[in-house]
Amino acid sequence: MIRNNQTVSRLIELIAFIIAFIIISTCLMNALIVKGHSTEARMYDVYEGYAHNTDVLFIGSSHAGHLVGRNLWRDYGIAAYTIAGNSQPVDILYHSIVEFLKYETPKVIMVETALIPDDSMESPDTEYEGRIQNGAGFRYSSNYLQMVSEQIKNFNLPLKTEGIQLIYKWPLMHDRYKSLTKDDFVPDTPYFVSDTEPLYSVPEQEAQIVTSEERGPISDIGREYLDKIIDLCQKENVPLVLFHTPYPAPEITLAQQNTIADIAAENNVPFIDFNYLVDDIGFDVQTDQARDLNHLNLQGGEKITDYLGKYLLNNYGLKDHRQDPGYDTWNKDLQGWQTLQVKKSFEEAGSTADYAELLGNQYSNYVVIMTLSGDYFSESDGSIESVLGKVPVPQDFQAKGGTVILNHGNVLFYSADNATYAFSQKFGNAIVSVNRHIPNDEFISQQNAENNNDGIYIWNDNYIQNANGLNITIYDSDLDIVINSIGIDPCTGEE
Amino acid sequence: MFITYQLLFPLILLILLLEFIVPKKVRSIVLLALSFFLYYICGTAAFFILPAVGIISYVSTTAMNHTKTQTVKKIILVASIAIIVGLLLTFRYTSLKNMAPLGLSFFALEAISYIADCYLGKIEAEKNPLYVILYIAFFPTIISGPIERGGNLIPQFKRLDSIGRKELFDINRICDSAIIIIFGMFVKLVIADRLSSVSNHIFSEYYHYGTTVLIIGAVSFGMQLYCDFMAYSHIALGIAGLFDIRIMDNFKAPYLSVSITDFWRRWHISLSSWLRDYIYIPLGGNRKGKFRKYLNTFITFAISGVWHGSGISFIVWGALHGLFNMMENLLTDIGLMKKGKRNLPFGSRFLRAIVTFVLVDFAWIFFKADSTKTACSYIIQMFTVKDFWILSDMDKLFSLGLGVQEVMILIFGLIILGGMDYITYKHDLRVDSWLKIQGPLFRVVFTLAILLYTIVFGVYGETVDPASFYYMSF
Repeated sequence: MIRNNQTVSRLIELIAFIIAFIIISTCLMNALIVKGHSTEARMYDVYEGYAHNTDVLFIGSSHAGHLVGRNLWRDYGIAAYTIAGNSQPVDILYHSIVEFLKYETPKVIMVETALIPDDSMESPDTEYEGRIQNGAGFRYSSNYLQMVSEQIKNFNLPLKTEGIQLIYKWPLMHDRYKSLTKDDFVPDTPYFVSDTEPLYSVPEQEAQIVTSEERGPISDIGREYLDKIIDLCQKENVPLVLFHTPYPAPEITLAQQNTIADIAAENNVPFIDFNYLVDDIGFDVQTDQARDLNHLNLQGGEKITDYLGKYLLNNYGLKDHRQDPGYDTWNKDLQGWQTLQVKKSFEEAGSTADYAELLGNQYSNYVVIMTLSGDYFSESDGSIESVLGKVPVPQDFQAKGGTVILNHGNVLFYSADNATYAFSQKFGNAIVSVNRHIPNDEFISQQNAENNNDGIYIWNDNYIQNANGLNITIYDSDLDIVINSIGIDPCTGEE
Repeated sequence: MFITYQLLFPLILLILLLEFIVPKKVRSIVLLALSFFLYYICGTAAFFILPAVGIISYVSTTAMNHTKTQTVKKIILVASIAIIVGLLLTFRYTSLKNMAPLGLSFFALEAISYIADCYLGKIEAEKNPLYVILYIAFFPTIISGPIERGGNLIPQFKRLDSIGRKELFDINRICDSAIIIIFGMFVKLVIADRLSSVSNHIFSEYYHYGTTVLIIGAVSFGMQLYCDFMAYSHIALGIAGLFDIRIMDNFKAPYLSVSITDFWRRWHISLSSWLRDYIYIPLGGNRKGKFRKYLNTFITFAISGVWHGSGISFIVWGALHGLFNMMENLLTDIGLMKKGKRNLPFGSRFLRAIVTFVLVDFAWIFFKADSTKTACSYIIQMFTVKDFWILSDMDKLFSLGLGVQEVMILIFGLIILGGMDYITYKHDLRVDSWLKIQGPLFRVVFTLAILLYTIVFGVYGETVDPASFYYMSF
């Protein structure tokens, strides 16, 4: 009887152990999983629900990523989500669609085809294998296991070493404890639905987009997964569109894309090869292609997106959701995109006068934190005064120094007569805080004083740039983006 | 341990399940098949040596059993031991040394002890060859011990083939065994493999460094070796326990020993007791006067050095321990050193533990260094080149193989290990028996904490093979 009780109690203990282990290890896996860059849409954000209500899934290589396509939402109200990886291998492409479909039900799937014929898939190197894992931040699931088992088979990975590590996943990612960032716990900009780093360059030499009637072979693995993608979309009853962005491709690439066009036709899948549509769209290689003569630049991306917007509305009955509830991600994405353009403008401001002008135009949209530190008053060229003149700071701020925080143009905090101070304000999940440890005149009198008397902290990073002068940090509290942070030297006026 | 854990543990669970399903009479056969399978797939050279040693053990003991004449028995004993020792020496000192089968040093000693015990009548020769071969080839002990005795294992194999399913699947025993394995993995992956970064770094570039760094290197290696070997022994013990086979504890907090004699009662216990029973006592032990006692001690440790490796440095290491033991015996005999530890006050025990650790750690330098010459250079540099200021130079201090974050992780691991060693030393409790006293809630929390700590902070992954253990090279 006692023995039976002991057994039952140990069994309960074991069950409790297993449950606790599963819960905690799932949380740990969430933190440690490779998430990709927060500057682009990623699978991790799909898991978090940010792709909810997606109309169109764009998926493929960096060619798809550089479509960017904000005008699809801005001009047509189409909610598109782009999962694009640098040289994304076709097997990952297929399993990414499977993974996406587990969480969302897009009305159309647009697959970009540049990498489908990739010959390197036949004999990938070790770098490729590494990329397989880093590129696919999949959660542990049957889809992940299926992908891994196919990789082991396709690439003859030894089960005793690489194979088993892929299967378990943990050995490949537990080391991330060394490099965890805020993004691993509170995702940075999870609302981005596409790449946020477009190309702005143009070709440096003359280039021409040509077409071909030839047919070229595509890799067996490419063909296998293309068939799988077609089957999957048919099975899931989601219309599939294949597309190939325009660029001055070599003859073999054109021929391979023609083969893909044939496969698409055999399966009644639309295939849009934009190399054949450049005249209709008004695509000019010299202005719409990036310097690498491979990817679209921002202008080219918007032209192609514009065409796709009309195409999708006309052929798939998509609706304009701009006024509909439930599309917060896309509104925020557009807002974020515009904020990034502002950020770019601040970074490109050529002079303090330009900066002051820009700040004067933008301060009412953001949180602006200004600290006059150290010997800021021995100003020689009036640059600090010119900047402060553009924002509604208290009149005596320049005389008294300290810190002013403007929240969308209104004074949220002013240190005024306080020689030392500390203040913090919570915006969403972020804490913005400012402080001064010792009175400024005492700080100035200290020789070799370290640059740590004043602080402008956002997510624990100190944005003070100059120990002496005016420090300005501009923060978008809605989107949690630090737009700009500069220090203006009182003597030189240099940022 | 044979293969990566990610394959080994599921395989063991599978076999455990199979043991439950198959008729009880074939359980040992399944275990033997698993043992040979693992031994084969780990890629050992000269695979056939293992079964051959098993067969020699069985044939010789059976022959002795059927012989009435003592002289013939003795001839069989000497011949069979000579063959096994011959194999050991051949694979250690001839051109065949690169072809040595994995774990030969361990299973050869097991075979010798079995044959000798049968000859001495301590145990009866086993009639079923399966049990004898399984005793030699039992997979948890094959690579790095513990060096088991036939008298302990063979009856347990027989019992395994007779007990009911309910007894085989005693959840308390299985959970306790799993805890022992988890603790072993924690010590190996979190502590030992982290320390190896420091010791490998310092020993490979010792010529750059002076006193402080070289002491750090020697201490790191001492701790690494202990953690690595103790972890293996725990994992082996836990795995055997899953199959209801109890093997001996190989370590009992050796670095808390108050003397070298005490140390050898706590370090690699299975080897120490083997050397005592089959070398020291047959040489006369302490029965033939003090001089012979000192000499026998010295010879026994010198042989221990030879067993560990083929280089002179191993003999020097063995001789050093022989010397330390002789000195200790001498000091005890003339009354300058108290014999037992029970009457020692804490302060004395503490100081003696430090002195013992320093002596043991000093000897480890010969164990780790590539050659005797390297070890001597290391020691000369350790005593002659000043670099104490490095303790104030954090950049240099944390560039010796581990950064600040890694050192913090290591310190937490060492605190847990130190606490567990203290409990073992003070109360003679192993991790599972100690947790039994603490109650189920603490047991769950503690086990979960060290398991998760190991999974996240363990040293394993793409570039590391955590399945290899230091003592596997012997």
